[in-house]
Amino acid sequence: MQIESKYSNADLKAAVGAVGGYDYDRPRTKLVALEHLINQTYGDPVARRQIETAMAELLGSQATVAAKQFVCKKLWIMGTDLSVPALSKLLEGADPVLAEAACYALRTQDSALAAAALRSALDRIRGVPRVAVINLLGDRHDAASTTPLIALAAASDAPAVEAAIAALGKIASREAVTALTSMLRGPDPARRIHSAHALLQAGQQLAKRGSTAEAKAIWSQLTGSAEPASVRRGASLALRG
Amino acid sequence: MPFRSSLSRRQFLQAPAVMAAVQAAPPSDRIRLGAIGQGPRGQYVLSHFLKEADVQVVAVCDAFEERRNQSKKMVDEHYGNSACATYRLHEHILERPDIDAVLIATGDRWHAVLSALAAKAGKDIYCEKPFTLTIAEGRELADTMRRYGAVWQCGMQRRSDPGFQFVYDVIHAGRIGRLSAVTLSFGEFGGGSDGLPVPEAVPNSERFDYERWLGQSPWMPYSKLGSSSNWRVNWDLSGGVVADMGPHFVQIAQWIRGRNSGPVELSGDAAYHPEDEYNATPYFLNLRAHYPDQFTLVMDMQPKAMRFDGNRGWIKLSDVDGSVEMSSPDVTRGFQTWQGPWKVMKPHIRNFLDCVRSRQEPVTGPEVAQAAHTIAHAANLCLRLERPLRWNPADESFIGDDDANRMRARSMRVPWRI
Repeated sequence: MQIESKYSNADLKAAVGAVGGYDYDRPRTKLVALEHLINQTYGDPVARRQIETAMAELLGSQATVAAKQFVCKKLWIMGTDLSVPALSKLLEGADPVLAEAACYALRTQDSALAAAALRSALDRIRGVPRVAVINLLGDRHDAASTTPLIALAAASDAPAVEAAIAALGKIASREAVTALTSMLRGPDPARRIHSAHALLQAGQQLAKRGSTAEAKAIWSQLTGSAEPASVRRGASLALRG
Repeated sequence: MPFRSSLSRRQFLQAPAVMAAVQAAPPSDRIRLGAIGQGPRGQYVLSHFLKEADVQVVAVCDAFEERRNQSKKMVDEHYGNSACATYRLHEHILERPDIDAVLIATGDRWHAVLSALAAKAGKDIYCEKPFTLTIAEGRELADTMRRYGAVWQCGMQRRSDPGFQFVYDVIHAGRIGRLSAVTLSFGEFGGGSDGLPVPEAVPNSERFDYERWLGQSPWMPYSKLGSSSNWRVNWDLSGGVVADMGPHFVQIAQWIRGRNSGPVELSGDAAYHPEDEYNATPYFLNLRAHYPDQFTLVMDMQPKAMRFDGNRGWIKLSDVDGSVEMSSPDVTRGFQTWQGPWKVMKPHIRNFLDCVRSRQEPVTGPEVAQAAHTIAHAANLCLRLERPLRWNPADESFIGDDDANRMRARSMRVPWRI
């Protein structure tokens, strides 16, 4: 059964299009109007789909950076798979501000397509956007990204290495813990320190999931004098329960 | 018939920990403190840390050169030397092994990130509120503090204030009967339109490090207006008056009720200035939060105060001057009046310092702070989404509202993360 919306597609499209010329030093009246419309269309999937379609088009248009950034903030609330291709293009585009805006939009978009877009971008982007994606995969506890993150943790891009190790600690999959343990015992001092902190977090994650024995096994590796003092203290406290 | 009570203040001042603090500690036994974020609030809180004899302030840090120099002057004048170090970057404070604890009084967007970095560096932390921009950030922060065993106190100093202790005592003596409602009045909130933020050339980073100032928040071009005190009304940087005053008052309500659980339903209205980009938080609001036990929390913009209504009377504490009003003189009969100063900082700071030594949990530790902040954030989301929300305090999620649930977490600008 086709569900009807009380909003016309033309009106919705016009409301989205109206923000395309927005810039940081302009009144935000049209932004407020669109936000209000988005609020009003909660529970109206037809209207929401039409708004999202128009927003995805705007992301691919000549609209200002400020307008695209604003649209990403709205997709953070209501985005679906419909806008993932447009966000992927921003992720892989030349503008780091928009790449981070795309990450903002994808932060809470839990779909498999969104996760796949993030993983796929890892191979194709560099610098700040790649670190943003790595952080996001960690925040999303995306176990499927364990293998590429392990590869990044072994690479030479220092910010990406640090971010990947931290993300592996949040993900705390079996493979992630194995890789972190290996780096903890490895020759590189920076990786050893990052891995100690990440393993402390992995232990906490595993304990939350009920894997107490695995958590304790991790913590017991972190109480030695070679580990950072804060990690030793945390691990010792965790072992004492 | 406004009056003040002195009973609780005396109790605080006679506590063993406070008595010990007034005796000078040898330098080797002092808690060595670094202060990060030294705007007006940071300098105010730091001035109270300086009064504690077992504290040695050794370094200050701020993105503004002028502010860090002002703080250094205050610290050096206090100690009669020129030893206080100044830093633009917080890393220099966190990497110093001689620093035991940090005061974090930056803009809101930095509180959780810096707290996490400080805990990772092995420091204990006194952190101003609101300590998070989002509900998820608070959960991450609470987990991080537990993970590192850090002593972390939220700067919700009203929890340790004699005036609020007085109200607690009156209510717990049963003078207003069963507590049925608490009204949190935030007072008139500026929030007016100060104009549009015209992008300007970014200042020299030694004078003002804009990138650091912006922190985790989405990028926006520099403008003098945007980086003035007006930042508190910008949703990307803060949460407006609800996130600013809400956690203070919600925590007091939860403390007096003896439980941290939140409401199950929130509803309300707010007004925004639509023309100003930097005004995405309400300047006027009226919100009700209903609890499962028929208790109601009200938030409004009446003059700053907390009013407690029970089935036998009410009591109201002004947050402007500490004066107390009540439904009848019987409400406070037998409680001694107090003429001391209003808004005292000492007991709260003292509690933190004592916990640094004892490794106990401060009165507004991470979970207490998170329980209060989640309600403030939930209230903000209810107003922003323009519809009632149902909240599940047990798992810190909204029931049946996908938009609200997604607004519980944001990504951070690189390189910041928790």
